[in-house]
Amino acid sequence: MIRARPRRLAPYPLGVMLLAGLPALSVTAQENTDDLEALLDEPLVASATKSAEAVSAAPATSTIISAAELRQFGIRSLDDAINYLATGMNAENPLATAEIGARGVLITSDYGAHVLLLVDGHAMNEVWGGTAYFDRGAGIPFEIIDHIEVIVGPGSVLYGSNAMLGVINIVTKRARDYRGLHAVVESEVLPGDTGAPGWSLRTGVGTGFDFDFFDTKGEVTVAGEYFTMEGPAFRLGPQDYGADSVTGLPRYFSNESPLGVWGGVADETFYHRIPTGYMRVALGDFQVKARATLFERSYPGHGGNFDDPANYELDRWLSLDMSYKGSIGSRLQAFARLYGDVYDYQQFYVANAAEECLEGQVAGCLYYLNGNAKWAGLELNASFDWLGDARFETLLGVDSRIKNVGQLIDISNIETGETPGAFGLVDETELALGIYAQQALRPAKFIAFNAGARIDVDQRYGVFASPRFAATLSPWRGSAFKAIYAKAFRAPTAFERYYADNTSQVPAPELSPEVIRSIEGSFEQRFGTQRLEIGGFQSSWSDLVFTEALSDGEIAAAVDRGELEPGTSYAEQTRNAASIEAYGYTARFQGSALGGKLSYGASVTRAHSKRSEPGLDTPVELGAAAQVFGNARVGYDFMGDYPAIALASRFTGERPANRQNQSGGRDVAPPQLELRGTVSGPIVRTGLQYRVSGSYAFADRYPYTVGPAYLPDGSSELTPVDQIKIAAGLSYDLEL
Amino acid sequence: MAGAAGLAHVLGPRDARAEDVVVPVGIQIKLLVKVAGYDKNLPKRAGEKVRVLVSAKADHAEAQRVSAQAVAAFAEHDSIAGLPIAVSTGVFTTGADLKKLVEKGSLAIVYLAPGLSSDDIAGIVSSLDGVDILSVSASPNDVPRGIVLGFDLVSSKPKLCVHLGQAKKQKVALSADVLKLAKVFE
Repeated sequence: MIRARPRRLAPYPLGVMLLAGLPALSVTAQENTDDLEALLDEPLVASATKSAEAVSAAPATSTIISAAELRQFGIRSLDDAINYLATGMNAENPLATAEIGARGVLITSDYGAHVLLLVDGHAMNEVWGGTAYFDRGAGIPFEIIDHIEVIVGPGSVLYGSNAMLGVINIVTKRARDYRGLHAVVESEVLPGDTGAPGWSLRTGVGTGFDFDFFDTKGEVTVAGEYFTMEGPAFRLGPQDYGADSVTGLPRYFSNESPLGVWGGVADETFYHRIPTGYMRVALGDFQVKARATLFERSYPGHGGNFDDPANYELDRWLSLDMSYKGSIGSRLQAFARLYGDVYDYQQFYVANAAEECLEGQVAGCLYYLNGNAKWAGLELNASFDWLGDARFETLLGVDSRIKNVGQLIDISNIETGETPGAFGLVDETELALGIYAQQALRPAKFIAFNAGARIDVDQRYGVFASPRFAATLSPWRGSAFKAIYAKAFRAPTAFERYYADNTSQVPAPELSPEVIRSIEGSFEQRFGTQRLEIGGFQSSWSDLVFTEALSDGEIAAAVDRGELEPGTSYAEQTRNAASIEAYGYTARFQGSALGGKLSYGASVTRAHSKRSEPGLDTPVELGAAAQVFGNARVGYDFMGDYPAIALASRFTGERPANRQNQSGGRDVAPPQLELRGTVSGPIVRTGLQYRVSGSYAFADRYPYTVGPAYLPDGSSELTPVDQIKIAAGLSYDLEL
Repeated sequence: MAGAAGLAHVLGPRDARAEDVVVPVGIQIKLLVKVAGYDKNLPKRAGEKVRVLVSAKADHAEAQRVSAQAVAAFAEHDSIAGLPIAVSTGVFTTGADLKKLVEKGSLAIVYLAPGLSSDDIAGIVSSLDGVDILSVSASPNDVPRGIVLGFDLVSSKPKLCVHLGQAKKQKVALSADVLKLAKVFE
């Protein structure tokens, strides 16, 4: 019999061994499963290259968030997951919808258009405004999520528009991980500070099963969820607004406050209602995925009257995706995808103020905006493994798309209901084509290269090229040095490109995409199930869309072209006029011990970012963009019939407000620290699982101004934070 | 019915999907090399050299692709549990023929590429009953049906799948520490 030989000396540099405090090296393989656990502990990521590979080998900086982590740490939405568990990205959720930033850059009011959101590889950002939601409005039943891939940094090389700050891919469970029937009900209590608490309720059902269809394997996963939230109430203002600029009389906002004053207790306009459904059916190598969701919401800072229940927004999505993936011979894999989406956005508000209405609507108006989009596409790609050993692989793809975008604004008289007719009309059909190529090369075990580029040709903006070059070096066991250069873009939205009215805004036919160029480097070291990573980044943003006032000469020229009415004295146009420079570093540590029962992690991002735009002599800080942020967590799972307990925290430094105050400066939101404790586990002999969670935010203001005016001291009123959240839920899993 | 059968034929080969191989082959082989090192019976079974057969159906493109990548991935490893590795490839025909190859070639490990039907798997399981061999599948779906070891993906992390009952029948003795890391089928 051959005895197990002592394990070879681990090829770590001495410094790394000392840093890690590695155990004695004479341990035999039969006695220690550290190496095996390390291999099993490293997640795979698919979004970086469109094929699964170990996170340490992928040409990207990524975080993988598992369903188990979502449950253990009390995560209930995508922005929660990003803030508590991801690295390099952060989200602000100022009562309206979450805004997402990364590495010190956050573009306010962008409706998520600078991050590409995928669900099982299907792009969610719609083509009218680039909208994607990163909170519950993401519209995916939470229990069907298998894991979330968060990739920080430009990702247009394979995906095209919107992937400027990063790519987030929500991957849903397969039938074998979701077999049986599932039900969940979870509720939150949101105490607030006005004595009128809020609440939320989330209910969901789902099922997954395998089947055989004439000896062809198939599977189905389907889930539906309804989320509703009401309140809490917030006390806002009073803000002394003064007179309506048209009538000269004190402006009306609500019956709660005197004329000319905005504010009061907002107890009618902070709600969310989100029904959503998702289905995936696979048969052989063929898959069909469908998603439908609706996101209705209101928030107290909405325009128009104060706290008027007629103020709300509504998004609706319907997505269908059919794909086929198969091998042709031993070296070629082919993929085909046919997809289509329908989306619309509606905004309603009421204003008893002549200045927000059209001429003649002195008593007020009802405002209605509709933006809509329909698009369908065909994506084909093929991956060729030249040597048959996955060391030299070429990916070639083409993604063709036809889009139709529409838009209208209608402002009707509040008294008579009469409207002079819709304006700002857009009805454009556009063709787009993306061609991408990627070459992966692994000449030796310790080094790998990845180079690629995507060329997008789009009738909306012309031609854009998005290259990426990456190298990964692993000189010793568990190490990975990465260097990445990438360029990415965001297509101008239909609103930015086409919106025009002949009294104040001319169209922007020359508008081109916003651009980011980024370089980053990182070093990662794994010690068994422990992982340490540090990295630096620098990014340059150019051609950012900025609404700029026209000069007198430009107005005259626009009048001559018939784009503005004669006599117009002020008008605007969207232009590629702003830029951002950012640099900084990220660091993270995560790991597990005690056979996976104990898990922990922490990350920090420090950035320096400045924005330049017309009218500014020197670059300024970005509104609402955190320059330092991170998170830390620890959890212990007693396993079996016993509970799992977890404590998670997130922090952000000071952030300047998104808008200027009365003196032209920006007020500052204080540093934020949020703690969340969660206990979860089974209720013995019932098949039920419970989860109880409580969180507390120490600071009480977001970096977002609310209201149309200023506080008596001239400062901006910052949006209040919903500081306390208590949640409890039950789920039931019936295996069939 | 004929139409439905035709549709099924178009949609994919019987009992095989490209999506079935959920863990990249290179990572599977890394895991296999580690796990085999924890098989207490491996040294006795292997003798001086760990002989590995990569078995794939001849007319199955996905199987051929996985087979080629597996052979290349094995080439990156010098040894299993300190013993040198010798890798060969073979065309899968039946379970009975596979048993003959195992016995004739003094094999220690057989790695099965995807594309095997339920009947193929059943034939392999019955044929290898009592044979001293570690059977491994590229697809985790084959483990509940009796292949000893497979590799699944759970929340993006690789997961070992072990059929303990069949392991005992094939004299594979994985340590308790390894089984703690695996999804075990009986």
